[in-house]
Amino acid sequence: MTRRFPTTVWLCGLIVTAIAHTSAYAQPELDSDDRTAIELLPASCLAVVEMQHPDDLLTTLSGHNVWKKVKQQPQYQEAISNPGYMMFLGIRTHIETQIGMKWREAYDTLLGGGITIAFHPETEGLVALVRSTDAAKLQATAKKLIELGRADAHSKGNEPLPEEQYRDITIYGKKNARFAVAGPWLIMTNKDDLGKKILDSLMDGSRTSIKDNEKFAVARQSIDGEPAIWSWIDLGTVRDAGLAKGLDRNQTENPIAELLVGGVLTNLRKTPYFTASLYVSGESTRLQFSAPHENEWVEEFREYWFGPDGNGTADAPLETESTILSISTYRKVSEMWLRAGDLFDERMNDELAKADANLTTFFAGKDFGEDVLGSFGPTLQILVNRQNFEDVQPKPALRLPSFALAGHLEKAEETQTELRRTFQSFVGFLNVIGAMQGNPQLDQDIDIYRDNKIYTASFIPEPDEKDSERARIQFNFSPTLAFAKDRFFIASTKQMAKELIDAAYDEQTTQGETSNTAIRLKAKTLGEALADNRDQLVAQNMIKKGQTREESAQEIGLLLEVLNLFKGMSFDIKTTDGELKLELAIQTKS
Amino acid sequence: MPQDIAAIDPGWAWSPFTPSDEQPWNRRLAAHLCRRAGFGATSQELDELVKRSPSDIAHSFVTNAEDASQRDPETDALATAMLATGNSRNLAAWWLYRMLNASWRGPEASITSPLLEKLTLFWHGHFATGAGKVDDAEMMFAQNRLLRRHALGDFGAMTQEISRDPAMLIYLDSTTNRKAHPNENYAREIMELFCLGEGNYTERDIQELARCFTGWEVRRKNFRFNKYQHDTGTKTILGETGPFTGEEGVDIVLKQKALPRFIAGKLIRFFIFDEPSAPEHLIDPLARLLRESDLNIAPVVERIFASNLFYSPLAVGQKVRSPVELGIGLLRCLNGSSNLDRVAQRLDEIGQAVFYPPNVKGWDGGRTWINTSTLLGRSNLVGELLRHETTRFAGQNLETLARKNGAESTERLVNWLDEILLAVPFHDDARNELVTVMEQATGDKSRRIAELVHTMSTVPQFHLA
Repeated sequence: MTRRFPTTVWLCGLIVTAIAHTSAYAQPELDSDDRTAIELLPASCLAVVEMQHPDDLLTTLSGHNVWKKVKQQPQYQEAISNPGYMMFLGIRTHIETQIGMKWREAYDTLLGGGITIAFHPETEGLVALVRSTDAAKLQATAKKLIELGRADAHSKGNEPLPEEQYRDITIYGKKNARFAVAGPWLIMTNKDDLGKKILDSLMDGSRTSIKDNEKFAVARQSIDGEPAIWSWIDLGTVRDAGLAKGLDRNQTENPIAELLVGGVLTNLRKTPYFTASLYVSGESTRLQFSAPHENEWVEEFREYWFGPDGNGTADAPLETESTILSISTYRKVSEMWLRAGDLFDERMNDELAKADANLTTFFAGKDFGEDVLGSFGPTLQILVNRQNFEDVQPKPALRLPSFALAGHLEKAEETQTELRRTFQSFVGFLNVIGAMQGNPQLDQDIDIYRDNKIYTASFIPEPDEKDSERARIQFNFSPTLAFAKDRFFIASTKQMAKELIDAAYDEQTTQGETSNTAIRLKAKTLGEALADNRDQLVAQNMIKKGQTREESAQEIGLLLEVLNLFKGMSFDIKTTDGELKLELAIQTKS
Repeated sequence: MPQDIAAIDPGWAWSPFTPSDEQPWNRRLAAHLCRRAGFGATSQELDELVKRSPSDIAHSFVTNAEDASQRDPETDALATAMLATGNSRNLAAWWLYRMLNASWRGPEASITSPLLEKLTLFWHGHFATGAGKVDDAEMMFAQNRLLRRHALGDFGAMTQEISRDPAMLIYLDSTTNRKAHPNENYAREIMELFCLGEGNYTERDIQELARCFTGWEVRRKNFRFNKYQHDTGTKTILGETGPFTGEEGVDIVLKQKALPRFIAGKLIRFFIFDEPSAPEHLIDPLARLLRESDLNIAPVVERIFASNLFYSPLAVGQKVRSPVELGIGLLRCLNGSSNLDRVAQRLDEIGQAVFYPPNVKGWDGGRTWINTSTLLGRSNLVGELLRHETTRFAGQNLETLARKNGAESTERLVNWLDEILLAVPFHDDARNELVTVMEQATGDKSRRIAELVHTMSTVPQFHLA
């Protein structure tokens, strides 16, 4: 009896079958071809994605701690014991028996020479080149697989794949879905013309290729290390073709997006290309975007983002033991505020004008953009720390992290007075609002810490609330303004302000930072902050997912366990005269 | 069996229901009891209930609820977590969680009982207080505890406490009730809506009672008596004269003959039938029982659930399901769970946001639950509950639930759903149509069962309790 396989499984096996089938007709002289994929792709390709060692990537991922942890989970065990998966395993074993290789060996053999995908604008074609490491083994495997493929097609009454010849190479498939095998190569494309170009290159060997494309060559030379996946896009051609109209807009309606990535947009409007590289190891996964950059490309209204000569560098983050998140950046916000007319659309400018008027009033007539923001240095930090409630009474039921804004003052003495007065007014304002809403009142105080004045305000608990372990949310906060050297700190708690002063004095900072923007997230303290609120998270899960307490506690426990496998995450934007680089990295425990 | 409410013999109506060959005690009647006394029951719960007598069940429901009412939900970690956010909207999901997870099996199975939650919902509609105006989750939670604590207890004690409840005082603008300007809101509502009903007091009584409440204030979320603002003069209320305090004023109201009849009438409407209004001769025996029990609610509720009237055709299928009964009832009957935050929002859209009653009269109920807008919303609620990504039935899906209940063939499935979900069974033609719906539906079995139940929800009788 013919064994009938589900269509989904056959789709997975089809590529393997196709390789085998077509390899049987491959030309022997091509088997020893040692050219790389980029030597076969047309020079005018617009985008290229390369994975040179899929076998190494799979080895790294399958041995990764996170994957090992996932495999221990009951949900994973449940998933691999379901009937669908068991059927898949049965079919896989059947195929392995037929081809005489375990699936992993087949994977390494068929894909081990690398996978390259490219887009060719002239033909509007997409092509994938897959290179095997052993053409002879591939052909032997193919003979077995093709028998299975034919038997299955026959049993289902399906028509065999259409085929035609091109220069003695058999091309299979219908229009918009073609594939062929030539030597060690499997070539798949959605456009005949593109497939033929590549076959011509393969057989003639004398045509120019993407390797000869100057932009591509420069980008490839600057590859840092050995990325698992590397990609390149000819952005200049994309722009010229009018395919990136979004980049033409000068103005946005989103100040946060402008602050975060406004400079990146400036770069993308001029840079000839950009590359993306993915690095995977047992310790980290990094995604790096890189593009050529020249200072002369920077518009005047975006100098606030890059700094003079494009060398604006963020301060090293004021990290402490309890830091969860730090965002350190170079942004001359005063300039941004004053150049709002160039950066934002009409609606946002109206909003900013209203905000400017209100804030100017709040700062006792001082011009908010010029005087207040202008008194800040160009480097700013936003920090989030886990709070330590051990010696705090009352303890809030919901235990929030503390947070702070830190920066430098241009004219420290003069500005400190203004900030102090505004802070005191602000606390008074909060008290009026709080009194109207029946919330606890803030008690202002001045403290001296390491010879610096700290202006702080603490909520006063009710007599029956003093020793509470589940006090109101307000008891997460003790708004504080502090100064140390030329720095200022506006913190949500006095404790955090002191920690930041310590960090500023004791230089508990990470070294060697040269980023325009640096974001750091620490998994350990994030996990601890979440664990502080375990009951809240369990309750939220119960309500949001309808779980029992036990189910919810188990899920939150798993979340914290998984988090414990990570060290943290970072995101950097680095600018130099020559390159703009964005890097997102996730560090795991080895 | 009488078919006309006006012609009902009260002696027959409130006598204990005794199953007979004509009307045997079965799963369908047990399901009726669970829908009215709570929010429905699973098939397994019904199997257990049919082994006992209706009177025995009514007694144990009330006893379990009384027992649960003394367990302070403040110790409920879920409530603590919800309150930490300070948002009253989150409290709605917390309460729905209690309704859904209450068990008929008694204290060993759950921290609360369905009857206790149902009665707390009744009192929430009776002493209606809206979180939108109160704007404080802790005060709303404290009031909810108060209602639950007294739900089956002494109505007099509950009224005295609710009169000093900060949330109620804020809701009825009584936070600063000064002798120079007595606020009449609470005095009016305690007579008109909470205790006596219209026609049993005069405007003068309201004005005089309002003077009793002068000096009653809310300070920092607590009740405070400001003796300097209290009117110590002589007042005449409902025929009694003296320098009454607020508590004494409430006591005078509680002594009125109209009170037990007013409360008993509301209990009949809530638990037995929406309309027409119960005639006085039918209310009187319950009113007498309430007065003889020193205004304790439990004996009255037990009498209702054990009565002939409760199991008669005058009661079965004679109420429109409230949105909470519809949503929580569907999940409870199908052993389901879902995102209750979302459910609370959907209930709000179809007219019943718990903690947010529309006005001081509470929800009108009955036919007012249904209009062209809410009818579509109710169907959408059922559809969303059945298909939402967070919804699980029997811990998994509808196919698993059906299999566990032996409802594997389409006909058995339709019969089983008909029995546990509907107060009034489908006739044969409708059943056959539902079988066709199920057989023509596409997708996996769970999806097809969902389609079937959703189709059932479009039939008017699905909305009857």
